[in-house]
Amino acid sequence: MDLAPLIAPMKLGQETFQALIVLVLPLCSFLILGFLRNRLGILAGYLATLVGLVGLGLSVNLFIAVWNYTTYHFRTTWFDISLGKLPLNFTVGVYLDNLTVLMLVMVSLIALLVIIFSLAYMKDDPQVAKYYAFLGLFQFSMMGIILVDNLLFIFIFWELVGLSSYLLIGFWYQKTSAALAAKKAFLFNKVGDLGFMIALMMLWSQFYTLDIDAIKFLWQQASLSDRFTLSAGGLSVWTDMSDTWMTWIGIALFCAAVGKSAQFPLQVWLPDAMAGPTPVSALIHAATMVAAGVYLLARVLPLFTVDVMLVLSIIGALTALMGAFAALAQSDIKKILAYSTISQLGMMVMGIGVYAVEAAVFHLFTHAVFKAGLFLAAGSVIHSLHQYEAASGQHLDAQDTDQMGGLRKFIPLTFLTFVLCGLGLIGFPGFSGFLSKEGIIEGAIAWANNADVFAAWLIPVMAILTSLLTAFYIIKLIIKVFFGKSPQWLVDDHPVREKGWAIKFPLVVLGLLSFSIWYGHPFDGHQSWLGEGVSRAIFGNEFVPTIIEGKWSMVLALLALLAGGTMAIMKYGVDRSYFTETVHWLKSMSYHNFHLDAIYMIIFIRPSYYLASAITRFDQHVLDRSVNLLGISQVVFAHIIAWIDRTVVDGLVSLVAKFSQWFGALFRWFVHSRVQSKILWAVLFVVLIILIWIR
Amino acid sequence: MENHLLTLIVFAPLVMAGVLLLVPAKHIGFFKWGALLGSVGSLLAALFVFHLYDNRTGVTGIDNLSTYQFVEKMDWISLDLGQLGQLSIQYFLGIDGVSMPLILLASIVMVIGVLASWSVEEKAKSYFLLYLLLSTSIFGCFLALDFFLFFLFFEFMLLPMYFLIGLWGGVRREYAAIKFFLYTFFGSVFILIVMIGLYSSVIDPIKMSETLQVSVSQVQQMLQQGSIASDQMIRTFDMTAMMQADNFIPGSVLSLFNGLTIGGYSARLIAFLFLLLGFLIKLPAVPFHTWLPDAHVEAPTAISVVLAAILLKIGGYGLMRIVYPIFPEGAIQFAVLVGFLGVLAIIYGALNALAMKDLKKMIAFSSISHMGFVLLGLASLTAEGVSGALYQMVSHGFISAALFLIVGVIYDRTYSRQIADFAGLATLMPKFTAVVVISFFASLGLPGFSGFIAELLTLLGAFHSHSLNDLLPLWMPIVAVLGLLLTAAYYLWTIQRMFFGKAWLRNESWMARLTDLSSREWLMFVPLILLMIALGVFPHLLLDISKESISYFTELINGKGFEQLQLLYQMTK
Repeated sequence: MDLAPLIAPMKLGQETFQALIVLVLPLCSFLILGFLRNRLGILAGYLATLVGLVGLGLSVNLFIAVWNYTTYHFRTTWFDISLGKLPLNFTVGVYLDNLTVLMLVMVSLIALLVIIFSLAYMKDDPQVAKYYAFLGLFQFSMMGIILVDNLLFIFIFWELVGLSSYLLIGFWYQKTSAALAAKKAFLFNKVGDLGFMIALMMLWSQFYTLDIDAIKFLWQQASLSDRFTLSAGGLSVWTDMSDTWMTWIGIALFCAAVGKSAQFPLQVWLPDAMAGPTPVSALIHAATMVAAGVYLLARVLPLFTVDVMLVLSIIGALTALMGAFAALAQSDIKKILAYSTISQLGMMVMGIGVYAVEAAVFHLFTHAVFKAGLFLAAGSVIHSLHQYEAASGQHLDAQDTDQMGGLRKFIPLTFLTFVLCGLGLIGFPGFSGFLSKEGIIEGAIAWANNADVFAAWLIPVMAILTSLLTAFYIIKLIIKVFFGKSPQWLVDDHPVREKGWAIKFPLVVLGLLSFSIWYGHPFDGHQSWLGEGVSRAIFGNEFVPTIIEGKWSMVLALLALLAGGTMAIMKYGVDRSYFTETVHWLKSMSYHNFHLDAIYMIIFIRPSYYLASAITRFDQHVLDRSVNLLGISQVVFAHIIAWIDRTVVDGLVSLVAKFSQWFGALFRWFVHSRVQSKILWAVLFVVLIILIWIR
Repeated sequence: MENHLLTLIVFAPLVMAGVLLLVPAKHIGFFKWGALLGSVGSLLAALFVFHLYDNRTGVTGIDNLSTYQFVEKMDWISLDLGQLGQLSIQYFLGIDGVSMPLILLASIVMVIGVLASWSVEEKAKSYFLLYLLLSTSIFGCFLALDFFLFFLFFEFMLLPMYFLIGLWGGVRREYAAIKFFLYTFFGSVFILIVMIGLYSSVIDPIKMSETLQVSVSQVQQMLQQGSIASDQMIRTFDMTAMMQADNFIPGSVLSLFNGLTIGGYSARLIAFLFLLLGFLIKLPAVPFHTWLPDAHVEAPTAISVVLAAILLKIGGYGLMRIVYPIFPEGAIQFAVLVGFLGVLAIIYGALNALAMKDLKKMIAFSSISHMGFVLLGLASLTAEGVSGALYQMVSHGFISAALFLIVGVIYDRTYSRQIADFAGLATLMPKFTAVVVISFFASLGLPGFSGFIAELLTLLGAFHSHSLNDLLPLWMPIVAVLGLLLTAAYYLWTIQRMFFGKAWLRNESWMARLTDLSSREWLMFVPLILLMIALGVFPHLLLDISKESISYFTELINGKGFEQLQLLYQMTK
């Protein structure tokens, strides 16, 4: 297999050039707004809107050019460190197919609506230009994830999206909660990204390229025979494509999605991320960025083995159920929606796991619309309450649903949007969620039906249970916020009101888009143009609706949502007695999201800090001290040597000196003594010598 | 190409120092501008070399003298040793794809270092003279191709560093300076031992071909046959000669064929380990790193910048220039050890950084952690890994310079470096905070900045090694990846504690002094940030220069390494 043609450069066409413009425009917006942030004032928002509009226009244009027609691919070499014959060529390019252009339109549309909404929502913020700059950075990186043809570049933009998310969550950095949430989001994402990095390492070591097309092709070759040679420039390399290896690659890639798409066990960052401005939550933490994980899974789907798919469905179903359950006991309006997002993302991942890929991507799209709608509507609630707060001088928590009620009279448009989008979320017939979510549930049922193990039925059961809970919590939320008596704090002379076209326009658009009529047959997901087009992009040209399991799965799903809805209405619609009276372990479990935060704190975060402190102590008290001890012992040794030198070596010398001195003194004494004693000594010696001589 | 550009790079600062020596000490401005002029002179010369640099295929350098560029070679010290032949020490400079990027790094950072020293008023004359002396020895180190010359510059660096830390440093400056000096000196002793061993074993084939009137290959052949008399041998310190096994005198200490073992290991492997130790201390690698945090904490800002950005690189450069090509079999034999030390440094440094309460110490440990990538990449001996190692050296040079300047900004204003002394600085110093966030994210390996390319290439290479040359086990790169998470953790935690939240300072009086960046500070940060981004977005800027050399390097070490290792085993059996 020759590698070179697989990663050969491809020409920049008109379409791909347009795509590059869509990509670069928000970056320009980021740079301009970033550098001129103090001088632009009100213009900042309009500039961002303009860029958003142009981006949307170009995206729609591209959509028309590509959808169900053809694909475009542009590729060039980024850098090349080829080693002799070994090809080490890092390419980069733009790839356009049904899936990409669909995502492109979705992201551009929601980004534009969110920017428009922000015109009113962020109007009074002193750092508004910085806000739009960060949004531009986000759009740029998100577009990058969608457009590039190459896993390395997806990873690059993946991280940049993480950065912009970090900056936007921490936008109100003076708030401790925002600062903590930003850090948490980035780090939990990073955990997933480690998996991504490892996947890149594994793929590179086998394929010498990270181009998705090339990898898919080579993978296909590999699946025909486990080992095959990859040759380039006359050099052949064996690649090992055993099932285990492939499964590990799949799992590592999935890790990335687990982080970004807030799947179990990394989902804990998303609820905290709500500390950012609400339009940001709508755009990044509901509609687009968190869906990037699902998009990635759809893009690399052919690389997944059966085992990986199983992991996907289990984790997805688990996340879906956990998210829905955790949403039950929340009272913060944004937290409820955040958990709902987690839950819906779980549904999508599960959908991919059970091979209902087009339904999952379809759900990605519909979810983006209605969840953005829900968040913006929540933003409208918060905004109008803040306005009221400012006007009346009262202090209230604008996000706490326990303090709300009867708001439908004051903010009817918001109410309407909330209901429409809510119906979309629970998958009510006639609304977008109905088509996509039922597709996923059908897929799950069909998958369980085909599986040999009875336990496989757990997956669709969890999905249906999720459906039930979803209906429950969202209707509960609507009732709590919009129905019933007005709360006590409400004084009539300062009415709560939604103000301005900038607030209303995005709500209307998103509310309307929550109807199913736009996506094909309003009651039959199989006949949707969107699902069909996506399926074409993923499975090639022949479109086979994956599952026709009869109508009973749909009935089941409908029953679930009716049951959930009815329960919510029964419980909260009638007497409005909230959970508050019962302190129950289940409730605490739900409120604290299964205590995951506390668990991670105990298992990972604190121990790693203790480990760090212990290592520091080791560093200072063992390593550094031993160096110092070595130094000190050197000095001590030197002193000992010096002592020896002084006493022994020098002592010997002194001894000799002393001796000669003594001897000299003796002789001196002889020499200097008187004549009489000299004679005496001489006589004595003579006597002595004579005595010796006689002997 | 007959020019003396490399000499100009090396000695421009020294000449300037000579001129400044004549200026009376009271003219402080003279010394600042003079030092700036001297380092800008080197920078311009380096840029000109870069402009003329030839990165065509086959222009590789490493062990191939003829493909080095801008070579300057002349006799310096020649001694007739009588029976032992001749001693020849050369003034021998040259540049290839490994040294070119580092010369650019060093020449840029030295200029920024002068800017960072602008506030030095006390004993300014000696400060700037020592600084210029330091510049010369740094450039000399990166350009010398004669081991003796290299060692000279390598050692000479310690002198100005010792005084710069010891005289202009913080509270415990004397301790730190002595520790720095002695620790590095300790490492140098090992280098010196091997250098003497090499000198006694290697001949200069080119010179001998001139004296014997035969071709170079004939000289080598004759040498191996033992038909050259001892008094005819010209012993040399030429590194490129040391890289060829044919130039080793049969039976000499470090010859491949002498079968000499010390404690079960062949003498050549011991020599490899000695050199490794010497350069690991400089790098520094765990567990030889404890001099670094102290030296950093006590050194004045500019010297910290030079220390982190350039001096540490000499450790990595020494491995690439000297240790690996001269003893390739050691590179193979001890790949796992070097890789392990790399991973250890990555994780150990990051964990330490996480626990640090002093901002400067944290960044010092982050340097240790980042230098781990150099070791890991080098150990893999794949083109990606080695490119990554070199890239990391350059990238970390720019990033760590910015990081230490950041500490300097805070320290200059408050004389505190404790993380816990500050909160919510973003409100007080928004522009500074932007610089901090950019630099921190660059350092934690965010794509778009140079550090990402370096870490990516290193990790890809380290992982690839398993299937390519089977040197490193798979767990090493995987554990190293964990270091990325820890790195993100300590940087983000620091941002959150120091810059986010409500503005709060330990000492109220600091409020007035915490002004945003001055224009001189901007002048230091902007080029660094631009370079980080440029190298992050256009990796070929650097890789095009180094590609040929590194491809050749990896092929050389892999090829010769395995071959010579086998030989060694046969000989010592």
